[in-house]
Formats: sequence, C-alpha cells, structure tokens
Amino acid sequence: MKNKRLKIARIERDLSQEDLANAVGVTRQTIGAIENGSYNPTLKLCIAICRATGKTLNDLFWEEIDHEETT
Amino acid sequence: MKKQPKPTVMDERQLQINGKALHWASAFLALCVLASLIYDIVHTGQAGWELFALVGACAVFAIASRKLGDIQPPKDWRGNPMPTGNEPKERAIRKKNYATESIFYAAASAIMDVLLITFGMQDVTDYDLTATLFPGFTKLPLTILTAVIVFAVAFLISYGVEYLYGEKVKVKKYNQMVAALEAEEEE
Repeated sequence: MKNKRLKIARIERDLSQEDLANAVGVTRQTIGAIENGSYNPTLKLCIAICRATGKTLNDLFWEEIDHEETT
Repeated sequence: MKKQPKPTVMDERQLQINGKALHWASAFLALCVLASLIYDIVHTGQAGWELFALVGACAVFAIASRKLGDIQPPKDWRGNPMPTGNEPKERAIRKKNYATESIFYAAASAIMDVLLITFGMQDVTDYDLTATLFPGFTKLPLTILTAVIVFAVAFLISYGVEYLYGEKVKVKKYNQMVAALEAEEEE
C-alpha cells in the first residue's frame, strides 16, 4: 500500500527523496520504495523519518483505525 | 538543507534483500541435505556427513533470520501480526495461535512415527507405554494408539514451549522495544 502521508509530509518540508534519504542514512531508492509501498521499513528507520519530517509514527506509518469497526 | 555524503555501505533495504537471498538459499540447502539424509537412512540405515551439513544449514538459516528480524510484532502461523497487549481478548488470540501451531507440530510427529512403524524402521513394541497398557493388541491398533499418545504428548510439550517463548520472550521483548523507542521519540 502506498504511503501517501509520507510523501505529503516530505513535500511539506520541501524535501526531495534524496534529501530525506541523506537525512536518515538510506538511499533515495529506499525512500521511493517506502512511498510506493514496495518496502516495509524497520521501526528504527520509521522513527528516523518521523524526526526528519517532524511527524509522529501515527501520522506517517500506523494504519488509520476505522472507528466504525471498533464500536 | 546541507547535502550529506551518500552512504558508502548498503542501506537497510539492500541488506535485507541480500539477507533474504541467504535466508532462502540456506533453507533450500537444508531441505536438499534432509532429503539426502532420509534417503541414506532408508537405504543404508546410517547417517553420514548430511547430519553435520543439516545442522550447519539450519544454523545459517537461524542466524540470517535473527539478523533480518526487525522489531516486528509476533506473527501467527499465517504470517499475520498478532496483538501484543494484555487484554483478555488479545491473549486469547495468541493462545489460539499457540494451540494451532502445536496441533501442526503434534500431527507431524504422530505421522512421522506412523511412517517409521509402517516402513519397519521402528517396532511398535518399542513404545513400552502402549505395549504395556494394551498387551493383547495387534500391530495396527497399537500403531494407532501410539500415534494418539505421541500426538497428545507432542501437543502438550509444544504448547508449553510456544506459550512460554511467545509470552515471556517475543511479546515481552517487542513491547519493551516499542516502549523504549517511543520514549526516545518523545525526548
């Protein structure tokens, strides 16, 4: 599943994929793979990306819970 | 933003790709060696170099699994993440998975014993418990009873091990790591 929230957060900070990749210590291809949903990052990388984009894990990575299902 | 130098070592995705290749190669090797081992045992009754090779391949597989392992929630037998909370409902889901995996293990153990007895590699009277409890029984009923007892014992042992390892190691470790990372994030 594509991670559109990550892409939006990256763009909000005016970061290219390469900028974000350099900030968190991975390759540009890895950031691209995360955004298009073909790679599932480790928790440590998730946290590093959150720090670089100023967001939280809930904002970028955890799936949104359908509240209708929980009631 | 200041451009940082590109990483000169493989990043985690590249390491994972290579690690997975090693992972599956060692699994395939282990299967081939196991097949050769079974063939030798059936035809000559002896095991040779295959035993060491099998142990080595399994060790490589285990090490690769550990290296590849990320902080992921424990998974059920289908590979789906399991809940890691302490609510009764979440514990019940995990216990059900432990029982399911134990049933698979117990069934495999019972089937293996039946095959060994059927192909004459093991004498059903070697199982003292069934031979003692049912002295007048012929081979077939004894074999069935042996399979049932092996299934029950294997299930109990497997469930005990799965429960202890799952609850006291995997779930506990995962929850501790997530709590530590979240605390670090808040700082």
